[in-house]
Amino acid sequence: MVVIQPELKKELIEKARKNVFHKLGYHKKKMDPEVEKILKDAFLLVEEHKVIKPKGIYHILPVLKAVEGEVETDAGVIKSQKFSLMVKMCHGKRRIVFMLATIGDEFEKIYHKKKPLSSQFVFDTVGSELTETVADILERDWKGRIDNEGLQSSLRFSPGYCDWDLDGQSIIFNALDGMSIGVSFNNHFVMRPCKSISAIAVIARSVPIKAPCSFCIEKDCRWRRAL
Amino acid sequence: MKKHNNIKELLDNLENTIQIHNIKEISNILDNALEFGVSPNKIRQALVNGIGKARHQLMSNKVPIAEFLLCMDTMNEGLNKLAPLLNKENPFGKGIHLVIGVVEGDPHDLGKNIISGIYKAYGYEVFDLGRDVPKDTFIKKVQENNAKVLALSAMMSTTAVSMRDIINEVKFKFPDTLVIVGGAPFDKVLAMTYGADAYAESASTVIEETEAAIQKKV
Repeated sequence: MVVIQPELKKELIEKARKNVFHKLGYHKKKMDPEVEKILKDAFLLVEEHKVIKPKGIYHILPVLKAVEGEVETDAGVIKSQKFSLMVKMCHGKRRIVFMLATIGDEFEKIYHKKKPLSSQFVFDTVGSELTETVADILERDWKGRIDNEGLQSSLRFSPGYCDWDLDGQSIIFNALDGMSIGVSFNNHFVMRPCKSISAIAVIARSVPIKAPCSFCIEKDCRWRRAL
Repeated sequence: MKKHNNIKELLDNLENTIQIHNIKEISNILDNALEFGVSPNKIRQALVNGIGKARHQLMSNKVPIAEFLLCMDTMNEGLNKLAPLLNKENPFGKGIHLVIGVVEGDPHDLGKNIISGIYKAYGYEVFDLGRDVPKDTFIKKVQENNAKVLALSAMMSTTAVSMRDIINEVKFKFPDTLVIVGGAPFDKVLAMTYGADAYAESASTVIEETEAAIQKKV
């Protein structure tokens, strides 16, 4: 099990800032000065007051069995038709990486209910984007290790998306000690802190299908990943 | 601040102040309107007209949601200032009691907070129970407040399922209470499957959806 506490470097924060611009709907439109001010305040907290506590954990386990609809590991059975097809199409020894990333709850506590709606919304978008940034750092870490072995991997796949029910969260927490980075989940499989990401990916010598979207006919799905 | 010559100009300016989310000026313009002798109810209506126009801009994708929320914040600033005066003149706005909350197990309440703010702006008497609210609390608050509308929110599929129980119990105990649901796992079909009277798709349409459901129920 690998635990990391990465530093959010300036260039990564800058990239996150640009992504937030897009996520707030400013693709071509000039950002409203008030929104810009809120965004500036949010990133000031991130950069100067260190309210983001990035942490991540991952663990790689072998696939014990992959049949239609089910991928079995020591942590439990991943029940997803599409993911099982992805795993079955891999070549070589197949493994699953389980991962958890978080920015902690300090940032959320600053804005939750304490600020006007516009600020809550912008701060929340910033928090979500930075959580993605931490998940990306974590992914780069395990990818670095498998690259050395000449292995490939799929994209991240999270419980609650596509045909994998949210109760799949328990398998990720079976594989990982979430509490070691301060992440837990409740009876409804909802994680705390809210700004946390859990995911899996398949690792093998060859991974021809990178995401379940390849098997999906819902072309307008908002979560669809271009492949 | 601009001097106004007549009531219409003042009310138009109030509407416009919401639309351009000039939060710094709203209080002054409101004071000016009151000094001019405009009734608090007319002022509130101007604020509602302003947010209505902002909602239409949101609906037609002319403004991003962050800017719409700035309009909401401006309106709330105005409504907060106006509240003590409205209480004397018209205690409950529309006179419709509405209980709102995020169901048990779900900590995601940003969407609910936005919807709650919109209902308040439109004159609903809102009883906001917050997030992670158990079924019994919803039932108790619907009864205590004689709620005409119960608005339930969930952002996760696993927490949304508990709505079915809440809706069944509300329908059994308070058949006149209308239940409206919203949140990421829902679409209209799922909302109806759960037994809800209406589905709130977004901040830009929630008022029309609620009012249509109320009309249908009457």
